[in-house]
Amino acid sequence: MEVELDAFSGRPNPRWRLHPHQAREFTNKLHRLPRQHKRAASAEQGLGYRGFIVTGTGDELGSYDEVVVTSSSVRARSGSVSHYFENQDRALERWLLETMRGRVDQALYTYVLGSLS
Amino acid sequence: MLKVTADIFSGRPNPTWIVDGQEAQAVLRELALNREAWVAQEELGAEAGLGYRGLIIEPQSDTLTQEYGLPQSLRINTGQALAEQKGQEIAERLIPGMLDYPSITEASLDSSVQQQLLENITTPAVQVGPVTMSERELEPKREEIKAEAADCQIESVTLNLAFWNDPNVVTQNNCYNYASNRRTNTFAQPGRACGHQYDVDNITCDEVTRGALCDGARVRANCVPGGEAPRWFMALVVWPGRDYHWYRYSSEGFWGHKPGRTPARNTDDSGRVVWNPETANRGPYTNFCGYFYARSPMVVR
Repeated sequence: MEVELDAFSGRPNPRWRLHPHQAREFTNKLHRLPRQHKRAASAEQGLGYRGFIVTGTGDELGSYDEVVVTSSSVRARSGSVSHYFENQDRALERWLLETMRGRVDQALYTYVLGSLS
Repeated sequence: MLKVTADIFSGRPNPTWIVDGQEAQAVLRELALNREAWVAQEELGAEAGLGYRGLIIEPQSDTLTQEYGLPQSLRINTGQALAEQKGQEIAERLIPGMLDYPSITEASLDSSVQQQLLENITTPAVQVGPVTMSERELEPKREEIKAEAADCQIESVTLNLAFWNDPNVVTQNNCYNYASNRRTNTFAQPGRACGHQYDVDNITCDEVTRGALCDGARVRANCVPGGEAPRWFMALVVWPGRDYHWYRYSSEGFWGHKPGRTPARNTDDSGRVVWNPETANRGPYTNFCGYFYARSPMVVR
């Protein structure tokens, strides 16, 4: 399972692989999120930190192709169909941020941490 | 049949008239073909201010809104549409004919009101929507940018969101693709096409500039001859040590940009239209590097 920090404009976004136990934990967290019935306005299209994009191979993400975690929601996409979940207290972003440690430079980690506060 | 309301008065009822027949069909066609010339009423922010605030156009049947794919109520000539010039042209078409149609409010349609409207078409007194004073203060700077660009000839086109935000390619093109107006689907990097990409461990204005010049861009002071048109006008900013970002001047007078894999847009991180990339809210891209021209020999990859 791979995580992409969606923050850059010109350069490719930083990406890293989750350890198998982290991948399982992510899937468990995803499945516990409550459904979002009223879709929040998407505000994650500007410059700087926008969110995380998680992709998996095979059935790592269950039936989903991609999970996009932003401040307003968690969007799990399967083909052209998306399901939305609540990103309660931005907990899933914070968890993904911790998986960045040691894989991207500390200053970038600190910047994203500041964006989440 | 269309109901047209000139939003100009504060206390008195606004002048409102009905346009029908072939003229109504022609206006509806223009609106349907130029969707960036208007703003749906429901998408506008709070209306504020005194003076001319644009024309409100309301197709008078559900059939018409469905046939032309238009909302129940829209507004042109507000200063807020992406293709404002086209909206102005439609207003210039409607207002001269207003005296030919019956008024449907207490306000009489007379030539003095018409004259007042004609004088205000080009300059809506107050823009509708989230416009702040700081944006207004930027206007002189915007003119200055245009004037300086005019010393060297440039080309520009209107913001084409459909082209850049096509779901099949939107994630494969970045700010450099957008600014150079080259949709390569390669997430282009300055200097990669010429074999001398910028140093990823040293993201500075100088380093990204070096890569872009190697690809064939030119700095602002070096005018590009007409034989190398189209000459797109670009601006470069840098997030020190991390990343870079480019903007491209649009013929509407604002700057468009495409933040990474996300859709192209013409607003900054505060949601304001980018009239000036030097003062726009650029998030962490704090260093403004300068202006450049893309030109026909430029290659990006």
